[in-house]
Amino acid sequence: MKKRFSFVCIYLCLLTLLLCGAAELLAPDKGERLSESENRMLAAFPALSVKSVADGSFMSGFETYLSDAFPFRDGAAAFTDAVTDLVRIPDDGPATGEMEDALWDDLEEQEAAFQQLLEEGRAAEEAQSGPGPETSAEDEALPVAPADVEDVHIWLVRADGEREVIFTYPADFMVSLSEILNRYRAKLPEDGRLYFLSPQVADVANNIIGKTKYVGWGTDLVDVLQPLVDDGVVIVDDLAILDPYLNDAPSPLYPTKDYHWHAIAASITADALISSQGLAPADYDQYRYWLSFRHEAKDYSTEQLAGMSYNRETIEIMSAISPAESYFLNNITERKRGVFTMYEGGYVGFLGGHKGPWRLIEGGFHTGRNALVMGDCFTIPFIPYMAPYYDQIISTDVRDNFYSVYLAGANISDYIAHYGVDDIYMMWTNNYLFANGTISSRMSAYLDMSY
Amino acid sequence: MVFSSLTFLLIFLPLLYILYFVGRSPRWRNGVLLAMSLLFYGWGEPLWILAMLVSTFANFFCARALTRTEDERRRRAILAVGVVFSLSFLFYFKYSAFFANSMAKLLGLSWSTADKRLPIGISFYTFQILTYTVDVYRKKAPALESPLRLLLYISCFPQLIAGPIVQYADVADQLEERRILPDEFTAGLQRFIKGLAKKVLLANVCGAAIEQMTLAGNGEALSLLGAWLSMLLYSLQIYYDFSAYSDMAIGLGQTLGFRYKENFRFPFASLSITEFWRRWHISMGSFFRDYVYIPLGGNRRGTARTVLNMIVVWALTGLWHGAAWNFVLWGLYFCVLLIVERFLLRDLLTRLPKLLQWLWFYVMLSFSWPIFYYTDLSAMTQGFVALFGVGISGLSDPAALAVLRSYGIWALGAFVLSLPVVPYVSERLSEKLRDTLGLILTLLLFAASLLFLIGQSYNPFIYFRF
Repeated sequence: MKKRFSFVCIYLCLLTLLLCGAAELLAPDKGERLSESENRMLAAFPALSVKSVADGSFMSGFETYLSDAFPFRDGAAAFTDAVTDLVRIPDDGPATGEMEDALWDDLEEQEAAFQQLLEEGRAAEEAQSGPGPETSAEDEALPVAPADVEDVHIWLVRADGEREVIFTYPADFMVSLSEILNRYRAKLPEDGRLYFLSPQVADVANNIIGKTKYVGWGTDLVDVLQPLVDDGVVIVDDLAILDPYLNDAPSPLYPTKDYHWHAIAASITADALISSQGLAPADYDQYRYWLSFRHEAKDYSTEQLAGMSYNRETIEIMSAISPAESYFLNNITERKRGVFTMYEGGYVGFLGGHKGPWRLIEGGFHTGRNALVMGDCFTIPFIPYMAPYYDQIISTDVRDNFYSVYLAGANISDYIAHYGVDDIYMMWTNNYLFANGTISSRMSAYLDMSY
Repeated sequence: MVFSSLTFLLIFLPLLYILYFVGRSPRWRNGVLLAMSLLFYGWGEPLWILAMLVSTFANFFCARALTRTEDERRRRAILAVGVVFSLSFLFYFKYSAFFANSMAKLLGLSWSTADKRLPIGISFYTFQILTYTVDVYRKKAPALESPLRLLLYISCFPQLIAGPIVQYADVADQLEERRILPDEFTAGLQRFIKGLAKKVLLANVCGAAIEQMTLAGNGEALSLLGAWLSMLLYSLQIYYDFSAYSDMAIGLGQTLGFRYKENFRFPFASLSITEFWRRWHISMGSFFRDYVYIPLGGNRRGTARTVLNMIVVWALTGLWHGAAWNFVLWGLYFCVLLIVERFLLRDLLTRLPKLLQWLWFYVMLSFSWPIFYYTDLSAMTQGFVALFGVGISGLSDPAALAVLRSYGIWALGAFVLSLPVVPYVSERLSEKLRDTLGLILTLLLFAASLLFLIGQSYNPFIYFRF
């Protein structure tokens, strides 16, 4: 009886495997699909041909398809994370000595203080005028694009040269965005520039890096958007900048498990922007050589910073840093020195992360120019590469968790005027900006809102 | 194809069992097994099947020729042809670039040649082919009548690409006919699931931890904590990776009616390096003992000759693991330790308390991992001396601490399970309780492994490169 029970159980295991395999093979939809939670295209059933079998690409594609098409994939990933987190010792900072402890204690205080400020700010906003200027794409009717304005596409380039469009953004949105960019441009001096770029996240890049199916990526963003904007607004093709380096960079451009980009990808992008201005970009390795920084008389090497991790993978966003000082700016604490590292929910940022809601970075180089960097977390590793070219950089992130109208205390135009901003760098990953109208609504609303 | 891939688990394995058990005749089952084994091997790189076929058929004809003559000189010549033919394949793919580049360096030439792409599992199946020809030569087993039967022995998928190295004489009878009882099938699948869990839940997690440390280290000097943590994690990864594969191979073999010998017996519980090599990769040790060491004279020709034979065997053992000087050094490192234990420390070690014996063993073993891990000699030296605190960046570093936080409990669990704790506990349970817990554990491990496999992307088998 007992043995028969074991026998039945083991057969049930086999039956499970068989049913899962059959379900995957018999699934009606074998094409590529977008995984919204991962922001990447899931693999399609690979094309079967003599060539693809001989070179093994069918088999590797089949394996990826099975993995991507597995019915309970998200649940499995959640289970894996839950189990690994269960045996993870709670993270209370690097604890490598008293100085580190002091640094991280300070950081935790700042994090807690900011969260409290944020809550107070929101309460104050609602008390003063009801809900803030939150608007969404649905609330505002987009201007209708003229007939000659096309949709914007982002595509992957297959090994055979064919383009495979993975994202399409409507022309109407591009017209709306161009109007916002022009309004920001108008706040700058005549010789000022507004650079707009929209990097792709790791999950898109990792369709190409180390893979054979796709060999590159591209977009017609510049073709569509550049004609719509005023002089002094430069639409940057970030995909073209990174394309040659995707499989040929000194170190990986993107992590495999995390969403963000590595410092080197930010560095390559920054270098291209600096070069386009006729300036000589500093070598990436030179940054690493130059830059460790001091906190309370303690040196932190770039390696120590680089060692911090997220989701069990090292994110090398902090290995480049300029000899800068970072400050939080807000309506309550005004200017407060920030620690350089910010460990926020496992995500390691630096130069104060996104908190503030405004941040000021003093580069220590007297170039006579100041800049505003606005965008999501991709700006964090980007800013240090711009620091040597500006006296001061102010930075903000208008996403919900990082911005409070009340704490800002002034509109974006006021900040631009107060800090004498010459250039603006706007950097939003596509899924924040294009796929979610909230960000553009906020960019528009916060620019000139009255206080 | 790897055992821990979804293709294998969801498609190949169920399909194999359906086809295998749908017919009862040995001929049908051998045919199914051969076809599926070739599919298994060809999945990914089908052209490499040709290399295996050529080597197999060449040795088939050599073995047939051996049965047709009793003239010892001719028999030796035929044996030499078969052995040289098989080894030349291995040499060409695995060692030609290494020896050519080493020679060029020695002669001060700037010329170099690129490594060849290595047919998967070539080190394993070459040795199996050799055991066939040699066993027929030694008349330990009869030559096979059919080349397809020999191909089945060589390509039989459970042990094809990462062992255990199955000696022909051990399975000659099973190639003809196998009896599969339901209980054995159940036990075989349980063993397979155990191996799958070791691979997915332990080896892969240790591997991910090492990957994180390597990325964070970025080629810079290790801290003392980082050096020891890397070493511990790597030793656990390689043990679980390889022993898991052996468990899966043995389990799958059992479900198909084959009886493979054990390949690992809790090697980290050894009390000396000598004992370690009786417990670690046993099939490889047996191969070198039976087909190299003993033919060289073993230990029966005096101390000097014994030492020389050991040096030859351990240099070859090192080279078998990879075409690089660090592997040779790694083999010779163990050779020195075995000689020291055999001729100098044997009595002393046995008189020590067991804990001290174990510490001797474990510390000596630990020093071997940097030699094995780093193929670059300067990195190897750096990694090795870092264990002694030389050239380190400090006592600890954030990367090592982050890994310790994330994987410390996991690694500790993996280390405890690498010792014979489970058998110790199991022996103290009643049979009923043991069986019930065993079954529950198997089912839980199966579910967890499947979920981990789908939820994680890190899944390479280290031993495939050998």
